[in-house]
Amino acid sequence: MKLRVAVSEIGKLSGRSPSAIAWGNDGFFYIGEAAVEQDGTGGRELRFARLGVAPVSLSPQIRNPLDITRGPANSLLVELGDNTKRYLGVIWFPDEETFIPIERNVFPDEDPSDIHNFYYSETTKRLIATTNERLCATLIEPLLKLPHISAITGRAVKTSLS
Amino acid sequence: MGYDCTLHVIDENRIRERFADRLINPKLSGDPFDNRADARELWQIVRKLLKNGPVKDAASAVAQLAILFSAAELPYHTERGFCLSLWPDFPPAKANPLPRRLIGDPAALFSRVVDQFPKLKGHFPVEIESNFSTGLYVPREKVPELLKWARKCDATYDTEFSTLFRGLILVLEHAVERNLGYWEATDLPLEMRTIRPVVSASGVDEWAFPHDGYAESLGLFGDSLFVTNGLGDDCSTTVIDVSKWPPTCETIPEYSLTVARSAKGKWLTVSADRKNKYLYLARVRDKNLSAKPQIILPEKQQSPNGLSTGGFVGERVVAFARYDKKFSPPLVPLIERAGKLVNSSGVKALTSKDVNRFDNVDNKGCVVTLNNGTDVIIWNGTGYT
Repeated sequence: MKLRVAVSEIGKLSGRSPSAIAWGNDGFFYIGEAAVEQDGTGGRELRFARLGVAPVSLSPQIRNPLDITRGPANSLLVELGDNTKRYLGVIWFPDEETFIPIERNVFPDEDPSDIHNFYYSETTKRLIATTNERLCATLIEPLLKLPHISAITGRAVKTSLS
Repeated sequence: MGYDCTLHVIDENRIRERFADRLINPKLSGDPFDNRADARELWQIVRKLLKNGPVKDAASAVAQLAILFSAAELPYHTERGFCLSLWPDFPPAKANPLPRRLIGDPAALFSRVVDQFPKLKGHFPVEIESNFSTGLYVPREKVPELLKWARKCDATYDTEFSTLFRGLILVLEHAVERNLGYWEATDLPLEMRTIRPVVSASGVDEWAFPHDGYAESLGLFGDSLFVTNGLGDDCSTTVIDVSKWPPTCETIPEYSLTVARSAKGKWLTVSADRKNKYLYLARVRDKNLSAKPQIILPEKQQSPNGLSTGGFVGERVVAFARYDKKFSPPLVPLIERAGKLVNSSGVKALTSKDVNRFDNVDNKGCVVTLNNGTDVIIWNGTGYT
């Protein structure tokens, strides 16, 4: 089978596992390799690619992404590595360029370094976190009521939900 | 070799009285510590050192045994390379040193033992000086202040040390809640344990995986969440139905690197079974995950370990062979044709120049199905259709 180039300059896929998530009609998000920052974090960034168009970097305030999965209400769940805000991850709204932090107190019984992935169950409306030993689940609704933060500036923004 | 530290809550009265009685009087029995398979041997070793051994060794052995005795009854937490005795070795310790007034002398726990063996006086270790020893002891009345100090440290550090104090804080919270003391040790014969909060968080439901050991999650497909563990003869991939809580699950006897689902519902696992533990192959099942899989083999074997990841283009399997310096020719994605995985063409091959020392095992390729129905194979920095 002969393949044809559809998107170039993707670079190396980074993060916990090679994955990409379809978005819009002909695009996808993925985690790409980036420069390491002075505080030792980074090395990865969120990117968006479309057919025939070179990828672009997004949401600079979402630092050190490790994994992306589908979230509720047109969002993605982004698991984060070490970051100065101590977020476990964020619920990212790429169309709005905002996010809601998933703080450590969402799963206070777990060692933050033990939480490896986030998933959203549409059927039970739960945010699920996995460790190497168990699943932890909590209802997503209270989180979605929290203020959004601009993924560009890092400042709180007002939305129709907040 | 580093330090395998354990952070303990201790019941000081229990050590002063019951532990001392047990050490002095070999006829006593019936404590949780005696459930250890090596309990009798440990008592004998320490009693022998008390009679004939070097005094420092004897005092150290008594302290270690007291912590083991306590650990059989109370929670503790395992840390690799961190406890209060080791805190001065961490760079931020200069700005936040542990107040010396909080540190106690463990000799206060052993007055009865010292009465019987006066030579021990002044020889109990007060901090970790080497592997296989006890460390700092903090009496129960000073633990609340220690907890405040630890919380302040915890709030100070962001990235590198942001989780360092979590275990210590949970141990100290247990101690404060139950009016207990704190003691630490390194390299004691104890199983690894982590401590949980005194009061469990409300609103979070937990569900333990059905197998022991280290599980990795592979992805959520609809309501099916996949996790896998690579425990050799017991390796498994567990499919968890999260459409209800608590979830239910079924298990496949394979260790999987990747799971994918086609548009029509076929499943792919790139996995090793229990007979060939390190050979990862493409296994395809129609909808029913408990059915026997069809194995799609590469036309030409490229790596002794088989594949690293895979996915679907339409209903055909796409797989990425493992890179192996000794065996692989330049690699391209493999695509299913007539029941075999064959080389695709028109693709930039992966060579040793594209593989750095960090990912010389797995090729990071994947397939994404766009919302317009186009399947894009992402390979070696380029997306292909």
